[in-house]
Amino acid sequence: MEQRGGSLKSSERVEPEAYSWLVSLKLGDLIGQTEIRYGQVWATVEPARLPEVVRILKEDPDLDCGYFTFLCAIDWQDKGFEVVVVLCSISRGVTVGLKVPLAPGVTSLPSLTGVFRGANWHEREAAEMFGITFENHPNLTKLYLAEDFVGHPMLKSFKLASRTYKPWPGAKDPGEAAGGGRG
Amino acid sequence: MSTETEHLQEAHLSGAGTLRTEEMILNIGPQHPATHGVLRLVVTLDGERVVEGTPVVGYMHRGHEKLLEQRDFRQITNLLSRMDWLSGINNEIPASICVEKLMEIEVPRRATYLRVILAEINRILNHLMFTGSFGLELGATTPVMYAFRERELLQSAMEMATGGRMHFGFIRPGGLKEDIPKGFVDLALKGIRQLIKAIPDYENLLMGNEIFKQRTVGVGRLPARLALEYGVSGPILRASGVPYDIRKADPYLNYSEFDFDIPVGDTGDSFDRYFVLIQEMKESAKIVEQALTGLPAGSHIGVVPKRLTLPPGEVWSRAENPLGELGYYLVSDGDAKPYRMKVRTPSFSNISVVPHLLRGAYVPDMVAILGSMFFVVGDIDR
Amino acid sequence: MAESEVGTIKLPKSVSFLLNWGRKYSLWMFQFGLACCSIEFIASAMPKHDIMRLGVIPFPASPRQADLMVVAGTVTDKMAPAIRRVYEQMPEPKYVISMGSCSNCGGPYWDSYCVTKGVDQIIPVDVYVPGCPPRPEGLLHGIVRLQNMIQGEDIKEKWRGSGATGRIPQIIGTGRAGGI
Repeated sequence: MEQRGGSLKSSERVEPEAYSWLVSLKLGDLIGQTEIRYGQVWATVEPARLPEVVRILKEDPDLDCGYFTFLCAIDWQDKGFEVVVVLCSISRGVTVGLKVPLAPGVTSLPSLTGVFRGANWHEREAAEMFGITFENHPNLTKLYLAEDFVGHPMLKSFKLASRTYKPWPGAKDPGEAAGGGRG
Repeated sequence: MSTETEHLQEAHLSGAGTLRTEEMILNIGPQHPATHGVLRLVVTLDGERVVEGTPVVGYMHRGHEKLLEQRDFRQITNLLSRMDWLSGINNEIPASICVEKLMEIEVPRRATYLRVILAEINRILNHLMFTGSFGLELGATTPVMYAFRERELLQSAMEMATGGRMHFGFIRPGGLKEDIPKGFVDLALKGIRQLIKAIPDYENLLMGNEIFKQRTVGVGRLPARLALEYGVSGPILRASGVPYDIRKADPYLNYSEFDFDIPVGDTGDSFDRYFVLIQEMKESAKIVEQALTGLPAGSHIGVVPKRLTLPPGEVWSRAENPLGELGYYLVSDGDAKPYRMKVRTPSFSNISVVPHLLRGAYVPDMVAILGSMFFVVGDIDR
Repeated sequence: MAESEVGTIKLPKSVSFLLNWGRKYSLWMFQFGLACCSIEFIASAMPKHDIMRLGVIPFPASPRQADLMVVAGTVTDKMAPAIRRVYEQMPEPKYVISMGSCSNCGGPYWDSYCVTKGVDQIIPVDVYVPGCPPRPEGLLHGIVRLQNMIQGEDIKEKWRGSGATGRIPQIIGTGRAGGI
């Protein structure tokens, strides 16, 4: 057992700008434009190319994104779904985010479990909450919800029963009349 | 002796399989004295060995992510600390940081120091709880009594500042709800000093105990590469040998100004995880002492508009929760309520690696492994 | 004696006082710690708040040996059948304390799609302890109120009705609904 101060050899860490340049170099036209937001590298990926992109990010020794942070879905209603995957490179000290827009009406995309085994549970949760299918997932069953639950709760079209009866009364600040404000 | 008996004896002595065994599926939980909360395990047993163990989660699923879309940015603090209910302040901090990044609010130095103090005291409270409960699950009832003695003193310090013992609701975008009262610094220092004096007790009580060592050394070894693939973070990852702590790797608040170490384990077995937990308490106590003695004067909250409407945008912000990496992916469309707020909780990823640890373990080891995984069911299920 | 005779026996007051006294001071508490309230529940069993001085012994091994069930935490729809099953395993006479706003009425999750709004939708509750989470002293107050209820109990009534007649659930902090 030992106590080590600090975390990484500083010679291995890479600045986000340099890392973003490396990402564009290695991935080329597999991804869209990269941008840096709040010190993190973000890029847009097409759904069919996602496993390939993630595999390169993980296995390339310069990029070395070995840490799977999370995968989630966003329901943009008319504009379709969007899946967000965030990876982290511990040795380089950079967080990489991938945004995967799905066309309206499209509800399936390839699974990442072949590359990152940790994506298993995240994809199961996205599947039951949004109704998205992940192709080649080993076990796409319900994770959180009871077996007899009907519907996909995180869709914007799924209204909470209690809220239809008592909607959000709007932002009430002290001194404002009750029930006023924006709904 | 008859030939039949001779045959049976021979078979028994040679260990040949005259015994026909069948695998048994055992359901543990969701309500069970040995599991930590409502986590259900379905294990397939071959005699005393686990062939396959699957956690079944969702018994505490309350739908936080949907509920967060129905409340505005001041009201979500109520729900945020109820996911990982042992680390109240640490849950609220990354959410406020999200809002501060999007709205470009500056947080005064005093508020940052106070946030660090409250967060680290909360980390100690969390680690004390697991120190106690791990012993309790293995059959030791004394550590939990000692742990709660320390917890009570620090909880009364938190209560003096925030009014709550477990769910605080004290962090606002821009700083804190109000400034700390007079006497908080003294009470907190008293609690920290008592804790530092008591930590050798925790070390000797369990880590020096031969039975504890037999039950935990070499049990539930988690290799580092597997842990990274699953997104395991926090003390469990550090026990597996990866020196990754977000407070050092990607500092938020002003952790880069404090002097503390990161304890790292060797092999990633249950004993190492417990060791890392105890050492982290010492490091947190160091941070709290440094922050309390160097607390600057100033305001407790920055300049925040009266009505919090965020500009449209997306931000991912994370922090080192006592259990691991907690992060919020906030999608805002210009309304007072979040459009989508994804919560990335540490226990969700930590527990997804449990099937690998349970394979091949004995049934009593299962309790030691689960107890050392330091999870909170509300964190898994959100 | 036959079950039908229990309702007809006239117990002298001193005997019923003694039986109630014995029952209230030896409650075996089955902890159904679900969520955050379970932490305050455990804190109430620890030396500072010490629930054992009231005669309540926490953590029996199984529901079959328990008199008192404390539902501490949110009751989700997935968990509800398990709670019902555990309640049915407890032998009579049994009491239920609902601890915390989630098990009282749904609490902060009143609008969730998978939370049972109050454990009293599944099992009958004797004492409600409000708070989010209630302080350990609040739980102690709830147990003392329950003990007063037990002292004033008529065991014949409890056997005759299904427990619903004559049961007035008590809410801590309001001073209403009978009892002291």
